Amino acid sequence: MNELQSKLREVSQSILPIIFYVVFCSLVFVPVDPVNIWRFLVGSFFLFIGLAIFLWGVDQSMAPIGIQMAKFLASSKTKFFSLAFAFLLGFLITVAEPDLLILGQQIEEASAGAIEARFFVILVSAGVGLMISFGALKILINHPWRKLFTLAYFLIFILAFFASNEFIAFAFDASGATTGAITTPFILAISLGLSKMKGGNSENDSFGLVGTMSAGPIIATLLYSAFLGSSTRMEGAPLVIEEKGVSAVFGALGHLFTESLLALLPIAILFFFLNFVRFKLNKREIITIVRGLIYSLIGLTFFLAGANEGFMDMGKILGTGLVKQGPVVLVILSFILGFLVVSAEPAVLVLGKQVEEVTGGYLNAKIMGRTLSIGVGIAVALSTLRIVLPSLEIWHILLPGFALAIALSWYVDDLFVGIAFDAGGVASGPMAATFVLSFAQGIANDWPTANILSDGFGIIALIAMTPVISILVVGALVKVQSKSEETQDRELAEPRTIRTLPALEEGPKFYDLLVVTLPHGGADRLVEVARNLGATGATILHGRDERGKQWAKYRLALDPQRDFVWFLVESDRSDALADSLTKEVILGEAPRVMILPVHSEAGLSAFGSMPDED
Amino acid sequence: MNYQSIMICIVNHGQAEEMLTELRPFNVAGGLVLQGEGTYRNKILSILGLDETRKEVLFLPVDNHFLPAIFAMFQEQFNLDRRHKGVAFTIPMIRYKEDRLISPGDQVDPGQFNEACLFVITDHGKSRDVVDYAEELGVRGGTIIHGRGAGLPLHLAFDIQITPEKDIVFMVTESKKLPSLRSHLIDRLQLDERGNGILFALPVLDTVGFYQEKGGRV
Repeated sequence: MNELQSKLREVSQSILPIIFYVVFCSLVFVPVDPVNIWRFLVGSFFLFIGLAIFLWGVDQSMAPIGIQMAKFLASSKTKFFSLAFAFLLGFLITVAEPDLLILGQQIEEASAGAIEARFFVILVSAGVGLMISFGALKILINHPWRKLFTLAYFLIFILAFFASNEFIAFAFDASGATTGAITTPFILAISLGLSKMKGGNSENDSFGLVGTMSAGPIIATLLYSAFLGSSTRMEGAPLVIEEKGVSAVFGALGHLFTESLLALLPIAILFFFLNFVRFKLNKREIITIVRGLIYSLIGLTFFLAGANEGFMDMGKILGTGLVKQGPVVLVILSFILGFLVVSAEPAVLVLGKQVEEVTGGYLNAKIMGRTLSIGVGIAVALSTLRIVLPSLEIWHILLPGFALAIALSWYVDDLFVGIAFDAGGVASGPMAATFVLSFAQGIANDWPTANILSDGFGIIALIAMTPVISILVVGALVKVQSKSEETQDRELAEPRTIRTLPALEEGPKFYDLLVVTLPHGGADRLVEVARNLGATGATILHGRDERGKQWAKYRLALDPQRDFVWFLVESDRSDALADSLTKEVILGEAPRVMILPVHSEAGLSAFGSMPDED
Repeated sequence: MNYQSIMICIVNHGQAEEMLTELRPFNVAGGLVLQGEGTYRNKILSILGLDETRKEVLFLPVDNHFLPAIFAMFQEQFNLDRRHKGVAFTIPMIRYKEDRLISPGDQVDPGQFNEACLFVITDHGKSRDVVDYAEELGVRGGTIIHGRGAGLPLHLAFDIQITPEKDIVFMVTESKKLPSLRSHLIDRLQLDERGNGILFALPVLDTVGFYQEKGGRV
């Protein structure tokens, strides 16, 4: 199977379920005008093509750009510069986000011009910039994520007391708008880059920055509302489902292309500028990145055309139509819709892949996907429940929800904390903002006791919250299980330097390859021991052990992550080194050492950083 | 258990678990699964940038005694004899844990191995160049694994260690091609300069899944 097929399969698996579900609903429950069905199907096709192309593009452009930027950020000589650069990155990627400007215009209208749209955008961008700086600082000084999130959400709760309900809805919507299709993969790559720079046991730092970022707009908006003190009164406009033909999907391509280009430009310009003065990547890498940027642009344009023109009105139609089914059926159908729709969010696939890579396959993308699906399913079901039960306020769900999330974050492993809060940002992407939002608005529009404005909104906040909890719950299950399964002591033992290696003999040298496996996180200690013994030039790899389906039952409980360290050693010293390394105890285990013969034909042994034999 | 060889299997992403389950009767233990990248050779896909494929690389100690049965199982269950289904090969060990398999001082005789696996460890990002340079000599199909070197303390604003990222490229080739491939790669990658990378080869005992068309694999 080649890459093209496997990517197409991956994208089909994420998108087809929701398409079938919508078609199913429109056949069974809601009579839909054939024109709208056709528009939806054409939109689905655009969504499919767009997502596939976009994901290829992100792989080749956002990921390498983010990693380069992270390197630049971490290797600065002054702390102030590092943090200022982090602020700039956060500010630039947010300020150009088209969704944010649209939201700003809505607020400008709602507040009768008291808040200017551009000012709002700049405010939110500054909030994001500030949070990215904090997040980067956290990674660089090795603080746990839970402290940062506890602080951020505590602040949000206090500020929310002083804000009007509309502003709270705006604040969470702004957060959803900033974690867009472009920004999320880029910020994910930045955290990955920062953690790679640190090396060692730094998986915890590969995630969490997206979660940190999404707290920025909430804090900034609420803070502004607290200062402003104005209670805005807004009238909800009645919901109109526009009569559009299939051609509307094609017609949208033009302005969406401009929007996507605007969103991409700041990162691209900053990258090419820094590449010119600093990175100086080779031609191949530049070609890959440029190609990736073009892919991302085209892919995003098609994806957004599909989401905006194909899915958005379908969401309204379904929401309006399903109201007749009664509250119980409505809540169940909402759950299924949320469950299926999240896998079509572009950043979900990016996050899943990154989790899989960083944990060496320990947490796979499938587990991540299921957990997210359950989370978002619950979010949409709760949102519908809130619309049909007028007494249930958004705060009755958000307050205990985030309190639970913060409490859980103090129990589970910090890696899960980072992933969980990232997942919240990732799940509230473009599909949530178009399809799910309009679905909720559709229900609110036709439900007798509901108010489209206050009830329809707030769903983004729920979608940003429930995945955090569902992933933290998985983290907690892992912790509970691993506590009962494993009681082994994983303390780092002091290295015992036993003896030095025999002196090198004169004459032609042969080399052996020493391959050592040990529990993950012990590689740096092993290299230190080997260095003391006189062996240099180690390469460290990260993988998982071979227990395979044997541990499927406990696959989350047992940590199968392993480090794999390679040394090239002169043949006459390899045995002594192996003896010494086997005698060490690192993370509660003796390293497993294997020696492989290096081919000696034609003098082919080793050179470069090894002593040359010629 | 008597493990005398390391078996390296390169399979499509997601297939490792299945393969490990099938390998259970053959008593493999203490192995490792790594995430890797294959290089898919196709002009059109290469221009489009779709020539990277996600692979899983298995490193497993095996008992040579079981090898024929394992390889037969690979062909039957995983169709490794067909194109793009994956490859497997074995490398002899000198020592496994405490067991010395070949007495010290004895060099492994390279003459008995027809094939060798060439490893190039280089800076992150140069791995595709390595694959291209090897192809100039007709050696096709490399697999890339990402790793890192040991951290070096640097004097930066934050107290962090910058760990150099490394790529490991490996490819299986005929032993007789090794000398020319070696000098070609040293030349193109300037490996004779310090710090540019390391190149070495390990002898290969046995292989399955190397598609012979056009003189290369996959």
